[in-house]
Amino acid sequence: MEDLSDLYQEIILSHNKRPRNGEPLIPCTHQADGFNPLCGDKLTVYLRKPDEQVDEIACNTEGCAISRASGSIMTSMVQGKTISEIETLIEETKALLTGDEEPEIDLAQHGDMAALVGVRKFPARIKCATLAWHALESALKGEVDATTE
Amino acid sequence: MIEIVSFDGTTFRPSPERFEAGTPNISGAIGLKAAIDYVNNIGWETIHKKESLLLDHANESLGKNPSIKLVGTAENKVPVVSFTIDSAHPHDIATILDTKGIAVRAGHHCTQPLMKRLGLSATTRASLSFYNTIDEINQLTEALKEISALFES
Repeated sequence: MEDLSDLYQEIILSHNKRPRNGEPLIPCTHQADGFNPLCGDKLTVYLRKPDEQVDEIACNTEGCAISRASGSIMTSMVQGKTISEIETLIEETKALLTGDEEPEIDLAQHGDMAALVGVRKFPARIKCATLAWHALESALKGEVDATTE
Repeated sequence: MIEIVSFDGTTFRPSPERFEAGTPNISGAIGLKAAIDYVNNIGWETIHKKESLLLDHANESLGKNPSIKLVGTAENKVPVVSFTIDSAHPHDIATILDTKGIAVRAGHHCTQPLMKRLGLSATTRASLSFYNTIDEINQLTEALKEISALFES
């Protein structure tokens, strides 16, 4: 069961049970939904980004432990970062989870996301781990006014 | 099925043959006969008895775990057992069971309106058949005990 304990580490279970920044952030300046129709994972990423920096972020997830933990970890890593720093983070995370080459874990660089590297051994679950990051990308691209009412 | 094919044109046999492929699914038909013989040799009565036994055992065995909520408990149902565990999402349950050699289905089972009616986003479902065993159900029960403990810890 070595692979399994790789996937469901304590850090993942903790983020699943108590997601950080898990409540909807209203009003916000940017917002995007992430949805995986095959497994039913559903989440919304909210940003307060008045300029080139994300002041506040939230990710509200209805889904499995992997998607909830990934969203929670993502918010902890992104909070207070500039757009270019976030773009780097997104690239590093994609390489970590889906890159062709087995990644070298650098805790300083990957932070808690390193705990999700075990998902590489479970191809059916990789999308659960990337969903929040895709929604973050969409949220950064489009400003919404629907939530500023 | 065709009648005559040339560079000038093609004619077809009259219906219904014109809508059929030239070579029928011969291996499929032979396979179907083997499957029917297999089931008839065991007998519907025996199959039904075995499946009822398995279903009763699954309901009783899983029902002992207070973390497991069984979904669908109609009296005359086929031996499929759907359930939820509050602390663990069905896809996490399915992944963990998979690593223990237990194959289940997780998700909305192509019944999203029913899931909505039940107030659930997804369930885990063990589909039993006459070739399953009491011991396999006990393995499932044990594995689910570990899973609920893991996610409740």
